[in-house]
Amino acid sequence: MLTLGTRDYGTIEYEESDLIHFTDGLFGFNDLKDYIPLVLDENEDNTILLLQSIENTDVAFVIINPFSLDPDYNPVLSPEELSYLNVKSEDDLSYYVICVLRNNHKENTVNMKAPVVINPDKRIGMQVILSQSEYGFRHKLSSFASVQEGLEEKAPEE
Amino acid sequence: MLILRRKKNESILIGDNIRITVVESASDGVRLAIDAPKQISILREELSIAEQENKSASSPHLAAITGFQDSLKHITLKKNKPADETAAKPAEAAADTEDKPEEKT
Repeated sequence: MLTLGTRDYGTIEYEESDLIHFTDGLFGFNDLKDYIPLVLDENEDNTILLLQSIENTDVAFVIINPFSLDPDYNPVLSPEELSYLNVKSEDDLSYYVICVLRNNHKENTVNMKAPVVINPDKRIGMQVILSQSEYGFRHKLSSFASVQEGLEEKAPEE
Repeated sequence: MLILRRKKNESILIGDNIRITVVESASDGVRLAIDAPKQISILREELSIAEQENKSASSPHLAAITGFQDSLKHITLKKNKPADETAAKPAEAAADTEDKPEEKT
C-alpha cells in the first residue's frame, strides 16, 4: 500500500495496480506518466474523477465521462492510436474529458476534442486529438443543461 | 496574412532558415516537409491548443471543484455505458475535507 500527500484531499492510500500509466503523459505535461484516478464524491459512480499525478502532487485534472454529457459522443481513433492502446476497437476503451474549472462555474468548459482514453484492463492511457469531432477544445459545460431527451432524473436516494 | 498557392514539390521560404515544401497534395490533406533549425518549435496547431487547455485545467482549486460539482446538479447526467465504470478502479479520496480537517495542509 502506497501513500500520496495531496494538496486538497489529504493523504491517500493506493496500490500500484490502481495507477494508470501514460507513456507520453498528457499534452503539455509529457514528463508526468503515472496518475491515480480519485473519486471526488463517494456518492457518485465513476462519472467524475480527479486524475491525480503521482509525480507532481500539484498536478491534477477533473475529468468527466463524456457520454454522461452526450450519449451520442462518438470518438473515433486512428488505427495507430488503437494499437498503441492495445485494443481492436474503440468499444474496449474508456473515455474521459478534462474540465477547465473557473471561478465562475458558468464559464466551466470541457475539452471534448482531446479526450483522455484509457484501456481499463491494461491500465494504460493516452490523450488524443480527435480528427473528426463536432466538438471543440472548449465546450461550455452549461450548454449540456439544455439537452432534455432521454434524461434520467438524478433523484437522490436518501 | 500572405496566401499562396503551391503545387507538389514547390516550396516556401520563411526568413533565412525555414523552408516548407509540399510533398503531396490529396483530397484528405496536404503533406508538408518543414526544414527549420532545431530550436524553432514546430507544432500542429491543435497540439498547441490542447497543451494550453491542459495547462488551464491542471491544479483546479478546491472551491472551483465544489462549484463544479454543484453546477452539475443542473445538468442531469445520463447514466449509461456501464463499461466506462470499470475505467478507473479509483482509490477513495478524503473527498470531504470537513471530515478530515487535520489532513489539510
